[in-house]
This record gives sequence, structure tokens and C-alpha cells, in this order.
Amino acid sequence: MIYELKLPSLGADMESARFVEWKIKAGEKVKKNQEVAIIETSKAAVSIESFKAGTVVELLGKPKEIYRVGEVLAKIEVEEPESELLSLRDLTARAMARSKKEIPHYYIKTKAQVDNLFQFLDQLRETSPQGERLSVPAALLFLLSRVLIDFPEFNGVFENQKFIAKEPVNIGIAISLKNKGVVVPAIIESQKLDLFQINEALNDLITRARSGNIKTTELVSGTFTVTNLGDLGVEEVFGVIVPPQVAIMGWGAIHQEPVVISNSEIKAKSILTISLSADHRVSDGLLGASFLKAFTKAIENPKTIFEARQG
Amino acid sequence: MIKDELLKQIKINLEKVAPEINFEKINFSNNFRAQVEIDSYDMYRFLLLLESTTQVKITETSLRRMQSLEDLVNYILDEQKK
Repeated sequence: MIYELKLPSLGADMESARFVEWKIKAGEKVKKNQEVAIIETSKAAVSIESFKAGTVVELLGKPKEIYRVGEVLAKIEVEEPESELLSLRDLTARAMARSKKEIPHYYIKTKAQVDNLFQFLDQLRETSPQGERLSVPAALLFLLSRVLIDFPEFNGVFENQKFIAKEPVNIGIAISLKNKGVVVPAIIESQKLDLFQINEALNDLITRARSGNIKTTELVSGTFTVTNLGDLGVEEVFGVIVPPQVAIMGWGAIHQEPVVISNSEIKAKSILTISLSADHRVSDGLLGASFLKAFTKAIENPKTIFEARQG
Repeated sequence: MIKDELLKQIKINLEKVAPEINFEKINFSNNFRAQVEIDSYDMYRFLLLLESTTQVKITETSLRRMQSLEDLVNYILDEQKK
């Protein structure tokens, strides 16, 4: 988008000014409120500034020429958040293509019963001093951040032909920007946050992602990714690993399924399908299965995990 | 709170979190999530607003038993009577 830098009115009686000199060049990047030129009015020489950040496309103002208030002095290509996001989408597409080409993916899935987790969240809300509503994805992220500590083969990066396990658990979350693509910012050091902090961090991350205020650090520091397509009714999702990471987990829609309780009893239970796509150069299906089993156990017995590992 | 007033609050709060949803096209008796594309974050924000407006806590356990907006309305009205 082009922003036209016009000769501003610097007083009620000002009609025109003499252009003195540019402080910028074509092709140069300018910051918001940066001084870009000097003009001379009948009273004094004054500097004018750009009200938007961007790249200088064309300088129209010429030294010694007289310009009327409102005349265009320069054209600046503005960096809109949306265009940044679109370029991010292009980058993501390239990264995904590279991922499928270079990373030997393997895929496994399991099912977890989430009724205990719902009950636990309700009880926690009743007893916690904050009394705030906690989201189910936040609770799942909290449990995952703790389980990942015990499975370093899934939390790290594959660079220069070798795997480097990372100590911080920076869980990247695929966030839909509602018809404007997807970004995958991470909750940094989630292993250090308690459930309430993760709930807050997740809400904050989604709000900022959708308003174009994600920090670069959050986009490049992920050590593991979660994609939650359950929102759209999909029961299971197998993600493509985000390079240089080595694993991505998919959460499907939580839905009711009949579960055999005993020989004579079948009950409807809330079921979450959890999938794992992981890098075969770093882990194998056996380890992947152990990881999913540990995560499932954490979801089905949340009390034990929360009490043992809160904070 | 009477039913009509509650429906009005639901409409207002839904429009706040997901303005892209056409409230008029929603069938109150049918499965809500099957009719609209609303993600867990917007749903979470919607419930926060609704809880604040109605002063009723909507538990996760009861939420899972609800399918339609009508279920939600009945739940809130029942809780307000308690």
C-alpha cells in the first residue's frame, strides 16, 4: 500500500513552502515519525516527518521548488501487518514443502478420555481463589509441557545433520488468522508456567496473533508444535513437522464415543484423538508410542499430574 | 433473566467474539457447533462474556452435555433459579 507524504500545514496561514532538502533516499526504509525532509516556510526552516513506516518508492519534492500545502512530496510503500502475514504464509508453504521432502515422517495416534479433565477443571475453578474459567486447550498444553520434559527426543531441533534437544519447552501453536492464513508462534518456556499462566499466555498469544502483534522470537523459537483442528469438527489431524523441529502433535475434535466399561456395560465418553508426526531420524514409533501413552495418562489422571507438577 | 433477554445477550456476545457469524441463520434447536465455524478460543471468550453477563458459571462437564443454543439457554435459566 502506498502512503503519500504530503506537504503538511504548519499553521493556519500557511499556504505553501519552499522545499530545501531530503534526509532520505529512494529505496531507503523509514521509520514512523522519522524526520525525512527540510522545508522553509515564510517564518522558518522546519523538518517534516513521515507518519508511517515503510520503504521510499519515489521522491517528488525538488530543492528550491515551491509546493502548496497538501501536494505530494514522496511515495512510501507501507508495511502493513497483513502483507507481513501473507509473506509469512509463503514462508510457511516453503517450509512445509521442505519438511515433507527432507524429514522422514512417521505417524501414530491414540485416543484419550477427557471426562476426568473436565471434572478436574470444574473442581479447580471452584476451589481456586481466582475462580477464572480455564480453557481445555490451555489445560492440555500445561500437561503436554510437563510430559515433554520426560521425552527430550521430541523437544528440540535437527540442524547440521544432528539433533539438539532443547531444555526450554517452547510449544508452537498453529493459530488460524481467520481467512488470512496460519501462524505458529510459541509459548516460551511453557515448562516453567503453571496452568493459570499458560491459560493467560495462550489467550494473549491468540489475541496478538490475530491483531498482527506477534514477536519474531515467538515465531522462530518453537521446539515442538501443536495443531488443533478439532475446532472445525475434524476428528484427527496429522501435521507436517515445522523445520527445524522434529515433532508435531495434532488434536482432533473432542466428541462422544461408546466405550466398553465392562462385559455388560457400555458408556458414552468424551474422546480426544491425539496424533503424533515425528522425525524418524531422531525417534521411532516405539518411543513415540511411549510419549503418547504418557500424555494420555496425564490427561486421564490430571489430578496426579497437576499436584505433582504444578509450577 | 427471561428467555428473550438471554437470547439477546447471547447474540450480542457472539457478535463481539465472532462478528463473521450470521446469528439470524442459527437454528436454536440444532447442534450449534455444526452450524457455525467457531474455534475453541472464540468459544472460550464467548463463554467468559456470557458468564459475566448472566452471573452463571458454565461448567465444562455440563457444557459437554449441551448441543444447541437452546440447551445453553435452558441451563442458564435453570442455574439462575437455584
